[in-house]
Parts: sequence; C-alpha cells; structure tokens
Amino acid sequence: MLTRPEELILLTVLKLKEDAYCVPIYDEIQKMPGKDWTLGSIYPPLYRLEQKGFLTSEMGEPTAERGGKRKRFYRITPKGLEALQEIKRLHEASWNGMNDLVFE
Amino acid sequence: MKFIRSTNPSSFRIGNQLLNLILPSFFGGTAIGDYQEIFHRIAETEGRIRANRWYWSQIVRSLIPFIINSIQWRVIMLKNNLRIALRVIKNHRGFSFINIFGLSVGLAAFLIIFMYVGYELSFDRFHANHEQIYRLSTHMPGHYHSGKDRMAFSRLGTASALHKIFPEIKDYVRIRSGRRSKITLDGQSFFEAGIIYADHNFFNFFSFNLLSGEIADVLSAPYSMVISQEMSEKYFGTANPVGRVLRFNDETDMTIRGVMENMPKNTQFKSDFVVSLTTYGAMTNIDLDGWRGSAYSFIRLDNDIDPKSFENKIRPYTDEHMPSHGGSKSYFFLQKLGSIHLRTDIDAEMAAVTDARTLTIFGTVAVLILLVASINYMNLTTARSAMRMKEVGIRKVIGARKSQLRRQFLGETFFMTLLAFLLAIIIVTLALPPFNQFVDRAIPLQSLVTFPIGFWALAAFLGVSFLSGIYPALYLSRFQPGEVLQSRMLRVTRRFNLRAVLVILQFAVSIILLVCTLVVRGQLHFIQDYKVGYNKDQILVYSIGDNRVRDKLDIIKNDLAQMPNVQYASSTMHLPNSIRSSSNLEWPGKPEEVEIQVYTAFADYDYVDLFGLELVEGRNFSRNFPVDKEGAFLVNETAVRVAGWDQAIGKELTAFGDKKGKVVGILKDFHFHSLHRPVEPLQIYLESKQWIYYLTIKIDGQNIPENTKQIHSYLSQYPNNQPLEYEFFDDIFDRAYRNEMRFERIVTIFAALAILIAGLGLLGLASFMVARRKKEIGIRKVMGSSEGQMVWSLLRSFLQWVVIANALAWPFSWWIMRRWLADFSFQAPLRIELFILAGLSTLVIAAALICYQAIRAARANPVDALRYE
Repeated sequence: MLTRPEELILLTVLKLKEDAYCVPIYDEIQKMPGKDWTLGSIYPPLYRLEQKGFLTSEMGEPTAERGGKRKRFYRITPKGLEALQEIKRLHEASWNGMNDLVFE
Repeated sequence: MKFIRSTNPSSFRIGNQLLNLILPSFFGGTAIGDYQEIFHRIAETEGRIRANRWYWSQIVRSLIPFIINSIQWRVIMLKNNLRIALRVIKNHRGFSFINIFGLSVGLAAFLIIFMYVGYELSFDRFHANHEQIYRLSTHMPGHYHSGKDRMAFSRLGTASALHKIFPEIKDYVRIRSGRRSKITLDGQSFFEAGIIYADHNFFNFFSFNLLSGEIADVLSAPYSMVISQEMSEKYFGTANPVGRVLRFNDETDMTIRGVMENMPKNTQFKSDFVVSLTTYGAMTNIDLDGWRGSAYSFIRLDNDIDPKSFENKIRPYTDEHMPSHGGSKSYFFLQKLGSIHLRTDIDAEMAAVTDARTLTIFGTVAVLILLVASINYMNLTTARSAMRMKEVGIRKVIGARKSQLRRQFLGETFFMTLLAFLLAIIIVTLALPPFNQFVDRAIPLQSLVTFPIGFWALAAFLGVSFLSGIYPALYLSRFQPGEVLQSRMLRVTRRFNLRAVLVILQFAVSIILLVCTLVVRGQLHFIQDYKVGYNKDQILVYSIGDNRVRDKLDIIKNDLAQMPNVQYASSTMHLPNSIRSSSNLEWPGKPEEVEIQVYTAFADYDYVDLFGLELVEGRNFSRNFPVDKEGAFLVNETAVRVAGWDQAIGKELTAFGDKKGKVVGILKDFHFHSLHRPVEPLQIYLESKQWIYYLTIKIDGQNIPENTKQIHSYLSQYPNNQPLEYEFFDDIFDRAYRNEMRFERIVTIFAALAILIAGLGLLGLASFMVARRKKEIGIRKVMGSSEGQMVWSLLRSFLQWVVIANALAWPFSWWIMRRWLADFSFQAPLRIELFILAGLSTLVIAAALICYQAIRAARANPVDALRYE
C-alpha cells in the first residue's frame, strides 16, 4: 500500500506528464495544502517508488543552471497507476458516509 | 539563460557536502543539480539573498530529521550492544568479575593518587591573582640553618621599603606565626594554636572571606583580631562576637573586630585567629618598618613582570641598603604563592610542605597501575576469544561488517569500563577517609568531580576503555568464519606473540613496584635504627615557653632527679635530633677570611649523660669544676677537624657574639640533623636559663605510665601559660621522617595493588590457557601422561615470561632507587637480596596460580574434553 507522501508524489508525476523531474515535482507538490515540503523530503519517496516499480526514470541533459548536473525524468508505470487506483478505492471506501459526521 | 555563478562558492561547497551526507546516495549528482536550478531561479527573480535563504533553510530543515534519525538508529544499536554485553558478562561470570574488578581497582588507585596530587598542587591557588603574588624569601649562600641556606621569611621592613622604591610592587602584606596560646573568656580557658599576625590588608590581599566586620579596619588597630566562624561558635555560640574581648596568655586582651569564614585546609595560612600585626609591634616595641624582627612577606607584582628579572632588579638596592646576615650577603628570591607548598629545601616554613618530586613519582605510579589493569583486561579478553570465536564466525556469515564487529567489541569494553568506573568511584568514596588519615591530609571527595581531577578521571576512563578495547576489538573481529565454525582451534604460532609481551610488561611493572617498596622500607628502617649516636628511648620531653617556669628550672630538675625511676633531668635549647641554630665559629687567632659555620646549642650539666653522648677527649660540663660556670663549651669531632685545631681543649670560643667560654671536652660525632645530611661542626654552651626550650627527663623502663603520671602531676603545680604536654623523644624523632614514612606507606599500597591486579590477570589468563588446551590435555591423559607432566608443560611457558619480566625489571628499578637514595647521605646498601626476594615472590605467586588451574584441568575427566570430537 502506498504511503501518503508516496501517493502525493505519484499523483504529481502523473499530473506533470512529460516534464516530471525533481524541480517541477517540488514546485507542484508545494501547491498542495497541508505539508510544507522540503526538496530533500521528495527524494526518499521517489526512490522507494522506483524500487517498487511504480515509476521509471531516465536521465536528461545537464544544464548550466544545474551547475552541470543532469536531470532525472520520472514516468508512472502501469503498476503505479494500479497502485493509485487501489489507494483511491481504499480512500472512498473508508470515507464513505463520513461526510456529515465530520462537518457537524 | 544567464549562467549565474554563485557569489560565495565556498559556502556552496559546504552546503553541497552536507547535502551529499543527508540525501540518499542514489541521487548524488542530480539532487545537487536540483538545488542549484531552484537557487538560480530564485536568484534571478527575487535576488541572491532570497535564494541563499531558501537554500540554507532547505538544508537545515532536512538536516534535523536526518540527525534525529541517525541518533535513533545509534541508540538502537547501542541498546543492542548493551544487551549483548550483559549477556556476555552473565555467561562468563568469573572472568568478567576478574576483569571488572581488576579495572576498578586500577581506576580507584589512579583516582585517589590524582586526587592527592591535585590537592597538594592546590595549596593557596584559590586566591584571586595568586599568579602575581610572590613571597620574599631569603637566600643566604653558605649559611646554613637546619641544614638549609634558604629561609622563608625576610625582615619586617623589607617589603615596605621595596614597595616604596619599586612601582612594580602593587601591594604587600606581612604575616607572622603566633605560638600556641591560652585563651580565656569569662574564666574559661582553652589552649589554641592556629594564631597568626597579619597586616591590615590581609583580607584584601588574600581571598579569605570576611563574614562580618569592615575589611578596612578589622586589622588596623593593635590588639584587634578576626576569629573564624568555628571559633566564634565555640566561644560565643550564636551570639555576635564583634566587640567582645578574649584574653591571651593571662596578660593581653584582644578585641574581636570581625568574623571570617573557616579557612580551607589547603592553605599555608590555616588559622583560626588573625591578629593585627600592629599588636606585635605594640607588644614588643619593635618598629614594624625596621630591620629588627622578621615576617613572612608577600608582594603582589604587576601583570607580566618576570620574577627572575625583578629579583635581579632589586638586588643592587638590597645589597646596598639592607643589613647583611652574619657578615655576608644575603639576597631575596621570589616564590610563587602556589608553589610554596611544594619545596622542602627552605627553612622555617609556615606550614608543612611536600616535595614536588614525590608527587611526580606518585603520578607515574598511578599511571603504571592503570596500565597494568588495562593490560590485564586486554589479556583476559583476547584469551577468552576462544570461547567467542563461534559467535564471531556466525555474525560474519550473517553479514556483519568488520567495522560493526569492532564497534561491538569496543562497546563491550566501554560498558565494562563503565561498570568498573562506577565501582571504582564507590571504592574511592569508601577508601578516602582512611587514606586521608594515612597520609595526614584532608582531601575532599568533591575534588573528584571538580575541574582538574574530573578531567583526568574522564580521560582515564576514556583512555582505558579505548586502550583496553582496541586490541581485543581488532583481534576478535579478525576471525574467519570458515576456520572458526569448524571448531578448529587457531593456534597462535608466532613465537613472540603479543600476549606474552603484555604479560611480561604487567609483571615487570609489578616487580618494579615491589622492589621499590622493599628498598624504601629498608631505607626507612635503616634510618630509624641507624646509630645516631644518642639515646632515644624512654625520654620525656616537655616544651618550656613560660619564663616563670624557666626561672625555676634548677629546682625542678633537682626535684625530678630525686624521684625514683628518674635517671636524668636536663634542660636544653635544642633536642639532639635537630639542632637548628648556627653561628660563626670564633676563636682567638682565627684567620680573618676563614668563616666556619657551626651549629650551636645551649645545654646543662646533664645533657650529655641523659642522651648518652660520648666524649673522645676531655670531660663533660661538671659541677665539680666551678670554672665552668664562667663559660664552657663542648665541641664535636667535626668542628675540631674543620677548624684545623691541634689542641681543642682549652680554646676560648665565642658564640652568638657574646657567649664566651673554654672548650672542656670533645664529643664523638652524632647526627643532629636528619640522615639526609652529613655531620657538621657543633658547639654546645653551658647555659641553664636563656633560650632554653626543652625539659627532658629520662626514666626507667619499668612502670612507664605510672612514672609519667607522677612527673606530670609534679610539673602541673607550676603556673604555665603553655599547655603542659609531653612527648616521647622517639616519637619526635620519627616525626622528622614523616614525609618519608608517608611516601613509604603509599608506595607499599601501590605495590600491593599492582601485584593484586597482576595476580588476578594471571589467574584469568591461566584458566583460559588451560581451557583452550582442554582437548590436548584430555588426549594426553588418555595416552597416559601423568598430571605432573601436564602441569609442567603449562608452567613452562609462564615461567619463561616471569623470568623475562624480572630481567627487565631489575635494572630499571635499580636505576630508579639509586636516584631516590642519592638524597640520603646515609644509605642502606642496595642489596641483591631485595631483588631476589621480589623476583622470587612473583615467581612463586605465578607458579601457584598456574598450578592451581593446571591441576584442576589435569584432574578433569578426559571424556568431557573429547566428547564433541
């Protein structure tokens, strides 16, 4: 099962389609309410997701702004999509019928 | 896109290094690039400052969880290691006990010694500005008093005169010791020691706290004094003593102007009554700024003044303006306040001093013992490795890295050392009071935690755990799983293995300590038994301080001599074991340039007989020769020899400038100083009243308590402002060697400790060697070896080591003891028997321990040993 951070990052990668490397991921995920992300807190989930097979990555070109370092582009895999769906189902199932209670 | 270079490349570098640390290594270069990209973006849009702020805040925010995580992780590892260490201890209870006990004894010894050394070094160093405070001491080259040509005091006027001329002297204060006095309040009297006289700025100059009274005037007027809190409570309870009067010696009234905090014990000024120096001036009519009379003078110099160059600076002035001592020049030298306690070559010190050299020796001994304890631990742990090989092998198979294993073993050592350290602290707490008694000091327990000692304690702890742990850690982690799991014993085949070296070292240190102890004890007993040339036994000594008693001396001595069981009664200026005052030898016809220093004492007719001094020529003072009353001298052989007289008898001598008399007899040389010094010229003048300080009484050997009581009650009838107390002369004699005796005691303790630790170590080692060779023994037994043969084979290797240890230890201890003995003019010969005794006893102890273990193994059932083949 996905952890929260993993879920959010996976969603972000999905949203970003082609352009998903760390910096846009960071920018995008900051927009989400709740946790205040540091750049450093993105890396572990990315790593784990790739290990689990939910993401693939490929290296990009180095640029000057990055001091000559390359980028790493991420793509969601079918397995990753499945994981997202699973977690969405889980979420709906758990929150089913909760709406009224929560906002009283 | 513009390529923006960072303006502070170095901080970027640091930041990048941190990032490399924090982020998972997988991301390496790309992560750094991410940070750089965002940095440039912000720098472009919002400026470099905002960019920097973002960058560093990112780092800090990632750093914190990283640190917390690694701490948590290490804590878990630590807990695990702890669990393992405890299990190890439980499983190998005997050896763990020996190990921990050995370590704690070593640590405790080390701690106590360092506390002692620290205490001795702390005398008078608690005063503010003590670094700039010096004592003006006097050096009189060639003029000896009690065998020393330096004196602790200077003349009364010296300090004030110098202060006027030399601006480097910021302030000065003078102190005099007061003698024991009878203090009366409302009819009740006590005899108090601990009285000093001091200049009015005493409490400003030194850091003694005044609890009540004004610093400015507590000590200005004559007959004013400050008493300690303890005394205030003793005499006045809770009432305020300020303004009250105490009567001294039935004749002087002193007014209390203030109360001070009790002085700490580590100061040479330790006293309960501080009386104004002006009182001394008033009582004796001596000018406090003149050249009569002396005092301990302390000056405070400006910062950064070098004492040596200041000494040279004042020398021309003092040479010219200050009166000389006995015809030749004396000059002043400066002693740092904190160092006064550490020199023993200066006469008339205010309080007992210690020789700094003994402190060095003690420090070295302490470290040696710690070394022995560490070596012990190393030996035992590595020897025990046989039992843990399987554990190590399995761990390696599972995947433990060498570094992890090393850390685990180091951690075990650390833990054991910690236990040992705690135990050591308990030992120190229990042992400190008796130790204080033993060495006649008052070392506080808190010094263990306060700065200098606490630091050394911690250093010792860390040092020992690291030192003891590193070798086992390296050794144990080296085992290869393959060989180990097949339970093939890996024999160490190197001829000269490290363990042998360690055992040898351990024993060598123990032997050295043992030899030194024997030599020191031998020397002390030698001194005590040495024929000093006079009798010491059954002689009562009373001090005479009151002129009322002095005037009646002839009657007193007469009465005493009449008593049964009293052989002789005599009065004298100096006891024969310490004739302190000296004068220049003067006789008619003495060449001008010749200056011979001769020690001088006053004594009566019975002195020679009472102390059993021998005459080689002439006769003793005698009542039958009325001419003696006009002035008579006895001299010793050395005096005759040094003066170069052919005929001494009949020569007219003059002592102290005005005591004239003729020599009537020559005494055989006797040792009137400690045996540190050779015999010097001596003259004794017949005198019964002036400067007589001792009444000595020789009594018979029987009924000593009875007789002493009788004599004491007889003497009590004479009014006296001194407490009537007596001592036995042989006790007084022994007291002179107190420092040496203390030294001997401490060295003895340490030798015993070192041997204990070495013995423990050997015991543990022996058991392991034996356990390791269980199989071999089992096989041999089955093959038919006798127990004796097996015991012998085990014994052999150990004995070799002990022999080598002896070979190392003997020359070294010989060299050390030669140097210590060089201090004494009279030395007990360094006999070879001592070395043999030391060597043999270690040999015997080692052999005994090993035999014990070996026999146990040999007796064991071979079946048990071979069961698992």
